[in-house]
Amino acid sequence: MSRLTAWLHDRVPIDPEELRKPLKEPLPIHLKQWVFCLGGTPAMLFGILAITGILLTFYYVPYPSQAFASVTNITYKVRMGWFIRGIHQGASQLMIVTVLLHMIRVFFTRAYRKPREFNWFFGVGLFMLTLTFAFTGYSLVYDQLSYWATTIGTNMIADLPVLGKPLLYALRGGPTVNPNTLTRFYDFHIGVLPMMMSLLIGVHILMVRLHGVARLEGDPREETYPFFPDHMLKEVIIGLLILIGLINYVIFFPPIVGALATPGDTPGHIRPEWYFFPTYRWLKLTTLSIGMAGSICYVTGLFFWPFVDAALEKIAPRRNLWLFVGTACYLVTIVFLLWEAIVG
Amino acid sequence: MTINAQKYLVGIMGLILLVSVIAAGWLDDQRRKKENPTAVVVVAAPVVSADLQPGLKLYEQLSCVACHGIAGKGGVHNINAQTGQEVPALIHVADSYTKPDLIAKIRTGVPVTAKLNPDGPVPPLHMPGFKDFMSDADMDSLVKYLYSLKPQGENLGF
Amino acid sequence: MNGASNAEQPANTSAPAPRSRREFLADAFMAVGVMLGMGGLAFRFAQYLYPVILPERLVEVSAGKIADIPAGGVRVINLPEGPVLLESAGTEIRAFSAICTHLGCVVQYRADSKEFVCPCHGGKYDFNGKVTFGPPQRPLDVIEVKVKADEVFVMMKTQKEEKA
Repeated sequence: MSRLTAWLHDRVPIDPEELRKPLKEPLPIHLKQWVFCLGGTPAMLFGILAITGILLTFYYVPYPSQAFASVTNITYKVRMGWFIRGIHQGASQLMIVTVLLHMIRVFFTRAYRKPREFNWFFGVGLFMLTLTFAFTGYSLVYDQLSYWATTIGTNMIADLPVLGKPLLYALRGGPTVNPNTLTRFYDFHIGVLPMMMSLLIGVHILMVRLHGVARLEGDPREETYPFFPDHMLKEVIIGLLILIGLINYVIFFPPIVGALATPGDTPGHIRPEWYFFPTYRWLKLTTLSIGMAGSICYVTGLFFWPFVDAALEKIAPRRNLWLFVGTACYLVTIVFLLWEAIVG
Repeated sequence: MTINAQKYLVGIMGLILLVSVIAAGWLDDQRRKKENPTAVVVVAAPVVSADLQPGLKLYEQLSCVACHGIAGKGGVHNINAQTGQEVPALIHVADSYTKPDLIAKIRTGVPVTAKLNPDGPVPPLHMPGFKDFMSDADMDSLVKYLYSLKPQGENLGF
Repeated sequence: MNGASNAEQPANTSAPAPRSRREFLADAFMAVGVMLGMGGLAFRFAQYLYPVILPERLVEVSAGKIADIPAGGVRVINLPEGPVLLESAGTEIRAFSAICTHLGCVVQYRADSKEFVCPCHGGKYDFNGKVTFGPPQRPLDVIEVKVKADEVFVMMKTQKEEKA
């Protein structure tokens, strides 16, 4: 065996010990709790989405008069088509949920503080990418709900100051929704966004490896345990659980196809997907300008939160203002989400 | 849970995954036989004369073809619709609608498709109303095309 | 598939500690379970990708009037089901597939030499469809002809489903 290893090592001069080092990385003992494994979950779901997504491109046709028919074809005629499509849809919903849960965990354990602020930025970026993925993906189905949700969603961009209109035209490939629009959304969804997402995921994980896992505030334990095989087994269990869960969900609740998109006819009850409910509810409360301004403030605050936290700490040391502000924001978001979901 | 126990758990989950996947494949055969709407994608369309081309183009661009089928032949499933649980074919509109009536129907649409079984679900597909989305000239072309869909020299019994 | 390092050993040795039989069994069970599960999933993906091959059947298609075929000559007609060579040989009407048996290009008729030539690789067939030159290994496929009154019908292979 060592002759083979030597032969390989001549041609790929990497010291195998260097490769084994990350596997032996000692992790703080608090990571044994399942809630700390939520970071790897969205990455695994992205993998599942990438594979099922690529499979879907074998049968999906991104041209308006063909898109809906090809989706119908996949759902009802292609062998295991409903299976692949269902897993893709389920995984996308689950990815948004797990990204949110991971973000909430990082927030409440304050793992974003110095020197890890940059990784928080990358994390928020990943969150935004995930939502953009969901939005562009949904637009490809080209049934009534999908078409109108996309039309309304993109129309909101026009109201951004200065850049709004040019940005909207660029996004749509024209002043109104036209065949170019679908092609562009498709290209974003299968080309541009996956590249950005892969890059950001790599950077995000790299930053954690470089800094090491953040110590848990208030946890005095100094013990560690190795990444391999202990923590990795946990991740594998979660991964398999996700797969089994998704597959069985799709078996009992297979995907269906709605009504074909009709440009001349907006359906009565149109609204975005659940992950946009808070924004949607907020926008319905005030004028469009205030609504947009508020949303931009919220996202900016979220993005720069490590610095907001540091500033709050300076204002009132050890008074935990971060906890009050953060919890208040989360509560408002949840209230808006439930309000829109229940009352509509 | 010890490491070894976790490894056994992983192995068992792998087997559960196998069983789930086998079940999905078995269900696939059943599902594809049951629900089978016509995929309207790549079937060659019958040849249409030049004066009917504008109407045919509208028929395709406005997505009429996706529900009413190529040459209005129908066949698209519409669960619990009174029209035989299918989107109605258009091949006999020349005999069943006067021109003003047909134009009115296309402009207004059918907001809620009538149910076959009143206790059953609302049919998923309905006829959209094209209101003033089409010029009168375009509407004329479309109606001309629709009227041409009548089968020639056939016994026209319903 | 499994790393050699034992979780209980400190990280300063590069030689893996000997694995106990218990650990080996656990590893083996895990490996088999995961491979079976993922293998099954991969198989389903492969089924999804493999195209649905519809059964082929013969359908009678009109190929025009007898009068349209030059006497003692050839008419090439492009039907939706495929290109067809219609020959009038004496009193007989014959039909061949115009698809070259080499790599699928459509052959052309040379009236002067009464032969069919394939533009792709120079294959040649005589008036009876037999190969006279070039890479084709098989003669042109024969298509069954049915003459009814003054019209010619050919039996073409199709994958389109029968209309109930």
